[in-house]
Amino acid sequence: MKSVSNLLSNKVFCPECKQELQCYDRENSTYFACASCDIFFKRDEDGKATVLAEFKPYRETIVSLKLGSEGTLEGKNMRVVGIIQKLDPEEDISWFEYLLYNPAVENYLTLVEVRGHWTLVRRSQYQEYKVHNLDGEYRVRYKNRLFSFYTTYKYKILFAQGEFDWNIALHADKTETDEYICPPDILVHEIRKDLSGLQEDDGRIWYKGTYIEPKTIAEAFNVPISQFPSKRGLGALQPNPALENWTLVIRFTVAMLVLVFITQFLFAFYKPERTVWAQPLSFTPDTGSIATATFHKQVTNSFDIQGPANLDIELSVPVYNEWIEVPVTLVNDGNGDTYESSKAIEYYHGYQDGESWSEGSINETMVFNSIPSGKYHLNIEAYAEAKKNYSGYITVRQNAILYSNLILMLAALLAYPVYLIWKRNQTEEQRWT
Amino acid sequence: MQDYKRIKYYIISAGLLYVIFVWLNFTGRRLAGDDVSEKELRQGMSSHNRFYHK
Repeated sequence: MKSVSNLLSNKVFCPECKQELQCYDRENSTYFACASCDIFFKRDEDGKATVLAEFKPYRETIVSLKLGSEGTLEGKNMRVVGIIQKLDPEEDISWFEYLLYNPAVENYLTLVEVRGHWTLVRRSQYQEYKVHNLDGEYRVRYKNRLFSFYTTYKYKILFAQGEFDWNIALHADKTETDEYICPPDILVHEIRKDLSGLQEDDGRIWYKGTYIEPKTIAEAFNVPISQFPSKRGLGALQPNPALENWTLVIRFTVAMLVLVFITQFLFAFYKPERTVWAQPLSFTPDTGSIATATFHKQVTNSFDIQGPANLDIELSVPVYNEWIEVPVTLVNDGNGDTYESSKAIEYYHGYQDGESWSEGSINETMVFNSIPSGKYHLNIEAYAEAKKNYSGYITVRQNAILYSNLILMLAALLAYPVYLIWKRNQTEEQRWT
Repeated sequence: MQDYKRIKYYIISAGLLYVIFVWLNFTGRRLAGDDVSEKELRQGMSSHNRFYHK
C-alpha cells in the first residue's frame, strides 16, 4: 500500500502573507487557498503566483478534519489536502468538503459533511448515466437500482484552504449540481459552465457517493468523535433507522408465526374438537309476569367432558322480531360445581324507505373456559317477551378452536413490524420534505 | 442502540406471549375471557333471578 506519510511536500508560499503552505500533489496541484489570509491563488510552473480571489474570513470556522491529517479509508492511506465550505444560497445550507489525496488513487476522494451527516464521494468511472422521466419523476437507473431526483443547486464558496487541481473559484456560482439518491448511495451530476455561462466541453461530470457513519471517519482519522458536529435531522442518504434491524425482525416474526400455527395445528390434532351433546329444545310457557314469560326448565342427560377443555355451547332459536333470553347452567354431576351463563337471542327484520334491514341472529354461542374432566349436564331455562311455544337446538362442543387467542397472538406478534413500517414511512416523508 | 433494545424487548415479549398462548390453549381458556357470569363451588342447582327487560 502506498502511504502518504512519506510523501515529500513541496513548499509553496502565499503571495500575500508569505505563509508557508504544504503541497502534497506536486504533479497536479496548481491552485492554493491560504488558511492564513484567505487568498486563493494560482501558481504557475515557473513558480509565479497570481491571486484569483479572496474568500470571506472565516476564522471561527471549526473544521472536523484538519488540513494535512492522515487516515485510512477503504484500506487506503489518505491525507486531507483541501477543505472547502460551500453554501447553497437559496436553501441557506452550508457543508464542508474534505479532499482526500493518495497518489495511488486516480482522483481525489471527497468527504462531504452536511448537518453532521457524512458521504464519501468519488468521480464515477462510468459517465454514461441517463436521466429518465419515470411517472413524472426524474430518475437514473443504475445496476437495477433507481436513483430519484433529490435536489438541484448552485453554490458559493465560503471558505477554503489547501491545494486543488482545479480553479474552485472559477466554477463556483457556475456549476449546476443535480443529486439523485437511492439511500445510502447518491449520484451527483455536475454541469460546469465557463465564464460566459456556456457549458464546458468536459463540464458534465458524474460522481457517486455512499453514506458513511461519523464513527467510521473518526476511527479512520484517529480523532475523537466529539470533535464532529452532531447529526441534525435525517440525512438525505442516511439509511432509514427504522429499518436498521428489519431483516432480523422479519425473520423472527415469520419464525414465531410459523411456530404459533404449528402449535395451533398440534392442539387441533391432540385435543380435537368434538361434539359432546346435541339435542332439540322445546320451550313451553310456565308462568307469565307483566314484562316477561318464563318457560319450563329443561335438563339434559349427562355427558362426558375430557378436560381441561373449553366448551362451546351453540344455541339456536328461530325467533322473528322478538327476543328470548336463555340462561344455561352447566352442572358437574360429581361435585355439584356449576357454571352459569346467559344469552339473549334476538332477530329483527323489516323494511324502511324501500330497503330491507335486519338486526341480530337466531344463533348465539357461549364459551365456558377451562372445564375440568367429569360428567356434566345442562339446565336450560328461558324468558321471553311472548308467552308461546318456542323450539330450538343446542350443541355442545369441547376443544373448540379458540380463535380469539390465535388472533390476539398474531396481533401482538405483528404489532412491532407494523410499527416499524409506520415509522419507516414517517422517516421517509421527513427525508423528502 | 435504542433500536437494538427495542428488538430485544420484542423478542422477550413474543416469547412470553407464546408461553401464555400455549398455556391458554392447553387449559382451554380464552385470553378474551369466558362467558361464565358466575362460577360457584356449591352443591345443588343454581338459581336465577335475572330478567331481561327490552
